[in-house]
Amino acid sequence: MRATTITRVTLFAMLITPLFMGFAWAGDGFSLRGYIEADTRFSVPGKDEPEGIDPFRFIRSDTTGRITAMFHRGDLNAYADLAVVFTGFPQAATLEDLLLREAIDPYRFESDALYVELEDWLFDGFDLRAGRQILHWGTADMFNPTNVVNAYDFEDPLKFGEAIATEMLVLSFTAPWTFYSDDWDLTLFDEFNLTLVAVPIFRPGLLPSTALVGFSDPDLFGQLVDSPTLDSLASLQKPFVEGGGTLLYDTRVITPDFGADNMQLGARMRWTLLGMDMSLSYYRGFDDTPRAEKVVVSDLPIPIEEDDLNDLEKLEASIRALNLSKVVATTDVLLTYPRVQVVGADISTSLDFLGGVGLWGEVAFTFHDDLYRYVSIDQAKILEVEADAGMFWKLTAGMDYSLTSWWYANVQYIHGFVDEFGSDKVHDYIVAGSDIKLFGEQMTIRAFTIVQLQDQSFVLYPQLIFKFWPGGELTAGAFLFQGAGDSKFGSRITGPSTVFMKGRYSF
Amino acid sequence: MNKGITLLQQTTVLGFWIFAVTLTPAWAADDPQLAGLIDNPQALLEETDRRHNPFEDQVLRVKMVLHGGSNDGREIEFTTYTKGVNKRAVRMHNPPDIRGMGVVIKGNDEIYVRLPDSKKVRRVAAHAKKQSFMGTDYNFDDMAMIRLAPLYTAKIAKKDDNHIWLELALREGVDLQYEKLVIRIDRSRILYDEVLFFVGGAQVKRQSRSKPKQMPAGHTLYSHLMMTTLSSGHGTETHVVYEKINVGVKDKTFSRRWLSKDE
Repeated sequence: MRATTITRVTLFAMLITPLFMGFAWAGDGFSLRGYIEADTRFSVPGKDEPEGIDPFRFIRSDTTGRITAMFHRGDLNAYADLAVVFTGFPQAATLEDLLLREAIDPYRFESDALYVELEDWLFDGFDLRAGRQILHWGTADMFNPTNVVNAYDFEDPLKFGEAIATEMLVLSFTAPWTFYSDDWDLTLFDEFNLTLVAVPIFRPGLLPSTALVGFSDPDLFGQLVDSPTLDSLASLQKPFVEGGGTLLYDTRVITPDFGADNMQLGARMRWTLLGMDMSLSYYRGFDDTPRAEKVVVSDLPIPIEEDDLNDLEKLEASIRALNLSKVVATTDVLLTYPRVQVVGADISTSLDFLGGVGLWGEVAFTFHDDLYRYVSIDQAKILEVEADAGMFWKLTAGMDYSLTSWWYANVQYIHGFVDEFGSDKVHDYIVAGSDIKLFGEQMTIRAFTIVQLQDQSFVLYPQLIFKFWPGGELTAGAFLFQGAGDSKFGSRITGPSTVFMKGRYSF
Repeated sequence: MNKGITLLQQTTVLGFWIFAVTLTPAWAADDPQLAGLIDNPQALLEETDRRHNPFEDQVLRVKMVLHGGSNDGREIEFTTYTKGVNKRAVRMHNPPDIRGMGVVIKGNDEIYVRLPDSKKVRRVAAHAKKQSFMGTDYNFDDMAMIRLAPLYTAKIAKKDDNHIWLELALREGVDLQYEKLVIRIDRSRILYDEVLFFVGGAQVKRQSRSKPKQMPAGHTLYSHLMMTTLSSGHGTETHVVYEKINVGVKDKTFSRRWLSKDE
């Protein structure tokens, strides 16, 4: 019996060994890296929050394990990135939930890359990349209005919208054209690249957990609405709720179907000219933040006609006169994604005559069709134009400088935040910050702020980053909002101010 | 008797000869080509450049160990690809938090970097060139200085039996922070084994090179370097793990395209 077992094990080992002979664990054909990270955050008081909520509460307890593998074989490369994120907050609300591991110990998978790449395919400089990937466009820091191919992940406010990997086909041609000045001292033209991208299936952006907060309170709902009709609706909600009524929201999302005419396409041309990096880009697809295309309010306690909306005071008085304790009004909201075309350009360089100051600018012009919204409030049926067909622009322009070898400063002006859409909805911001590196760059003191110029609300984002251990990194910091309750950063919709600590080990 | 005295004399002569060879300071003969260069410091500098870079392209794997300060003992490993007079690409291997980071240098004014967790390739603005590279005593200017003759004009500062010192002045229009270097050339090899770096008239760093190795391709390579920052006493020790030359490193390595690829 024992000999048979040994024989079987030996045969099995002989069978599976060839599977591992293609790659070495380290070397030219294969490389691996990854990290394990713990991210803990809790809220701190100072921002407007709903009554009854504990101002000091844990709001995040993520543990992430990420591994990224790269395979190279001649001109063929393959990349695989996978992370598992344990979110730390049980989702058990029923006895049945207690029988489910995923309810007790929820987790999710993420992947930033899972693609195959052929270098110098057909001819030198021509690469083909197919699969799940992130394509980054734009030279500005963090806020890139031309970076529209991948959808944004707004789940983590500290990342200001990182990209979600999307399945796409990318063709890229880098020309071997380099032109020098007569004395070979200066590169006149270099690094020409043309990239074409096709994204077959639209992926929407991931909204933050606080996105639903706007539907919990009429005042907050009023901050979300962007038209006179919806303003009227929001103003009627408050007396309704104060009179004892219950508001229910039922939101539906329709993403673009999978037809070929909904395929997203993009192109970017990039080059370096006289020491300046430049690019032009074009994207045809959809904005990844949904908008309300249809709002239907039903089960109201009083009849409302369209003309009644012209006298809101009378309507509010009528509502206040009622006993609404058993009345439930339902608002159905249909969210869709507007078609857009985005034309972008960017430039970056450094100015030697100003001590080598780094300078960049990035602009995106978004063209859209007429944006209609159907609003139905009982008998009042209104088809309003949220925005006429047209264009709005977003811009990020900035500069940076190293005051000393250990002190770095960066400032940017932003017209149009990542989540803003429409010419009358983009606002202006200043982002400024500094890094001070100490102890041989093993410790960094970082402080950044974002100020909205229109409402003067702002965010303070200080961090201490420690790297005293090989492969290890510890970060402690805070993300503090300040502003009026109806301001960009002061509103409850942006979530609470937080203090956080992260520990990461990289391998 | 005569035979014994003769043996004594022979032994004495042999003893003196052994003494002379072992205890007298070594005085290696000048490299044969030095005679034709010694009166032309710029040509001498060009010859040292050629001997330090005797290749069309080079792949060099190095390990750096930091000495002093709070990062004492930290080790950094990377591979450097060099081609021509001004192209260099670097890919970091260790420590793990910087694994995959890449730098491409195309002359001292065109430097790009990609951080490991970022999909973005970023141009290094001129102001950032003076920042330390990963906590070492090197910065981006140091990494861009592949050959000195195109960047500096040379004059002879002094000579002795074993070395020639060249004082190098930064050429007009060249954007580097070191307006002066002093290099010490080993006369027997026409390779410099010491470099002094000056900023604002004051010496700020010193690099010494040792452990010359005869490489399979026939050239000599200093396998051990030590860069010291004088103000702090902090040092970066560099060991050459391996070197390969003329392996056909492609031009596409020195591009943003190469940087954008995960490795």
